Amino acid sequence: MRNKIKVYRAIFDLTQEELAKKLGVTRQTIIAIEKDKYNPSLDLAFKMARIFGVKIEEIFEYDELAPDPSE
Amino acid sequence: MPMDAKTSRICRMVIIVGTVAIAGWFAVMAEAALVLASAAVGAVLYHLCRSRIKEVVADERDERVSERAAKVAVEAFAAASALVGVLLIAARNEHPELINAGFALAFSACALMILYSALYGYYNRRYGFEPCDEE
Repeated sequence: MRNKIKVYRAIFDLTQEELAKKLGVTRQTIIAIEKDKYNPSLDLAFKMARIFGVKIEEIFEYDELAPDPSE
Repeated sequence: MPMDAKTSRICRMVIIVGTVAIAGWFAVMAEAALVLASAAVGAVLYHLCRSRIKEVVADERDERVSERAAKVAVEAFAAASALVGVLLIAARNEHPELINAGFALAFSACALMILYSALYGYYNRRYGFEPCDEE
């Protein structure tokens, strides 16, 4: 899974800490998601999409070739 | 009184060290009731301290990490204790003093796997498992 969280954070002028606070997660989680080290739950992904006012697939892109970080 | 994550961490460390020291002292004095009482007081203080944290300290990623770590720990402990337990039982002719330790290890591995299976079944049903109807 690839994502554009960094891009959307820049558009909305949000730091990792601020986004983490809005989502109710730790900054470590935002860092891990941005680096494609952790795939967020659907719940968290929807919350992100709602914060940025876009559809979930505009932030997250499924890539069959990308290694699953949970493996 | 609300606490930040760092203060809470220090507070919890002090509680753990204090509880272990006090419970250990009572264990040396052979006071089983006082060991239980001190452990209970320690657990209450620990949870009080944890509930005072204002900021997010654990989220779904931490939960995933804990799940993975717990699974690997259970598998490693079960395999290692079963193997060492059976080896100690098998070596009873050379080292008869170790047979009780062997049985304790082997039974703990069995108990752990039984507990794991029971909890697996419980959570499997809780998260929507239903037997498939074959037609």
